[in-house]
Amino acid sequence: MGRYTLRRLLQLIPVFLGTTFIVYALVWGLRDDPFAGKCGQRECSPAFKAAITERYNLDDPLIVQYLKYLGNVLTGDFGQTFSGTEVSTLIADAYPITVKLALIALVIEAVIGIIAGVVSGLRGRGFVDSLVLVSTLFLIALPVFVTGLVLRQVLGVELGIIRTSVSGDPSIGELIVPGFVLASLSMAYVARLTRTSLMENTRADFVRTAVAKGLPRRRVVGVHMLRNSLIPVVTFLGTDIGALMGGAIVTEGVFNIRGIGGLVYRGLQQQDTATVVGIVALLVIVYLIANLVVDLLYAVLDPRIRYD
Amino acid sequence: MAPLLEVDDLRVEFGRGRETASVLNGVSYHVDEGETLAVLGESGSGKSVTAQTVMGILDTPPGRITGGSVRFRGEELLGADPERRRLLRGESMAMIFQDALSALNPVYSVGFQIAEQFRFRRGMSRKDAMVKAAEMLDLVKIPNAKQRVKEYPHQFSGGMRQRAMIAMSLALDPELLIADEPTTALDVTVQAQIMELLDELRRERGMGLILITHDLGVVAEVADRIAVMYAGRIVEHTDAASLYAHPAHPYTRGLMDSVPRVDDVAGAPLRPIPGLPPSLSAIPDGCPFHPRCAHAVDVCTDEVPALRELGSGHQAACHFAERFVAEGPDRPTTHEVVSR
Repeated sequence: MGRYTLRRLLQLIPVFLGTTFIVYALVWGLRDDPFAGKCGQRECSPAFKAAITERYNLDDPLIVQYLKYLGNVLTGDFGQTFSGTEVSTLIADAYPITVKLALIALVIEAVIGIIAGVVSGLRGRGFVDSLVLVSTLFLIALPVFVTGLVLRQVLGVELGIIRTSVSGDPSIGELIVPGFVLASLSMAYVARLTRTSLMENTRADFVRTAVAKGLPRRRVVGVHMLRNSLIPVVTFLGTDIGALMGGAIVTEGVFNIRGIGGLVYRGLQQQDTATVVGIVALLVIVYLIANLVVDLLYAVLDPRIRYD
Repeated sequence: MAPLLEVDDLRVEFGRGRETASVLNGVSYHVDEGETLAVLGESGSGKSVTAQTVMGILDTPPGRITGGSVRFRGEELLGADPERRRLLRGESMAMIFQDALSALNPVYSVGFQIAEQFRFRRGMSRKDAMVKAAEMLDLVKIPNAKQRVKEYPHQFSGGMRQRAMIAMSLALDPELLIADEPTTALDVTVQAQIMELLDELRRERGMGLILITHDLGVVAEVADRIAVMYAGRIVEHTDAASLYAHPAHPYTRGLMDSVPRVDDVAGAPLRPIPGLPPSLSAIPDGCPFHPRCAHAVDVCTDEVPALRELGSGHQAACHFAERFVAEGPDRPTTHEVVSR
């Protein structure tokens, strides 16, 4: 297990380099004039151009620019935006909010999704099962921004239960509805995945053995059926962490949450390489580590899988 | 005294409407304490469904018990309180399955799965239960039981897995053990070891044993009585010796004849029973075996032969059973060849 973990950690390096380079190249290297629109209607002053060119090594070839940028990042310097703010400050302000939002969403999707899936999977055909199937289909069919806007309108504007835009440093309570919106799609998948997986296992031979042993029903379901059924669900949840953080952009927009979503969005509009690459690099790392944790967890859940 | 287990006129259907399959059409048998009953038949003859109904682990739906009775020590089980039936499982009757790899839960250690019964049926602590689990593995002659108790099913060989399965079934010291094709998934040498083990444990504990199989060779060595099943019915029922000496049903004769033998001439064709078992949703009128029977005459297509007594406990469901008994087997059976 130790060697496997080490190998996986080493694999992070080329993936990290590859993704950051691609993002870097896309936002910065591939456009014609880095100063277009930077100084309003007017042409930027030669002094400004010179300063920016100097600071971002614009005269160097793309690869050299990238390597210089990378060198700075590795020493903890994420660079500055064009307006002079430290990117690390921006990230430090925005990241915790998005992480909080994503974790709330993850908890919501895991708890509601698994419970709904287990209940419908165990009961079999009937009202509960149909309810779960139809409601999840509904959530899957609806784009996230529609769910978000509708909930904001109904709960925030009409009923006044929530505020339509959350504060700069939101509490967990404030993030529950946005978290639900962010989780909605994955929640539907989790419910369906749990349901299918459980139904497959209901008829499994080892479940029959557990029944034949005369174990109590709760034990048969809770231990023999559930653990096997949750293996694919855990995999999905783990990989979903990355997707939730990246997918927060829309939800953050709808509820005016000052997370990384808005930051990336503005960064892209202004073609602000330092901001975009910095944030995406962190997202990539989160995603890779979440994946690694899932793979290790997988071996814990299923002893047939051994890494050595 | 009532027999240990008595199955009487058991009827089970699967599915509904036009698709209804009559899987059991009045199955009756009994097992006494310390006795081995072999239930013999092709796939789909209803051997396993009968056993699952006895254990109370038949999937309903799709299965549906439409009639008959199952009595354990005189107590009616069909329609009994589910909790009562659960308590009988493991404690009074236990079952081992054909494919031990899929019958054991892949994500828990073998010991854990045996220990569960001690924990949840005997109220033992986790630790004590694990010690008992190791003792059970030792009982079924698994070497290094103390170490292996922590291993997972996939780390066991096929034979060892079936031993572990047996250990698990015997944990609560049941009075009746149902072995559903326990050796089918194993290779021949291991088969013999497992059968020997089962027979030995049955003798030591005075258990009743129902041995479900389609393998005549397996049955010959250990069975006291044999019930032959076809299309959800018992077609012949007698003690092992007279079945081999005087098979009364053409189906039984066909089964015996279809076993290839060491003294067959090389290159001689195999002698399978022609045709296939009937679809259970369209069992032929009359004797269900008549489309495949070389001796079938008009009466076979019209009248269902009842399972009737031929004398000295030999029962068969064939209109011409007496004639076949008198004839003896078509050829000396494997059993006789072996014991000569």
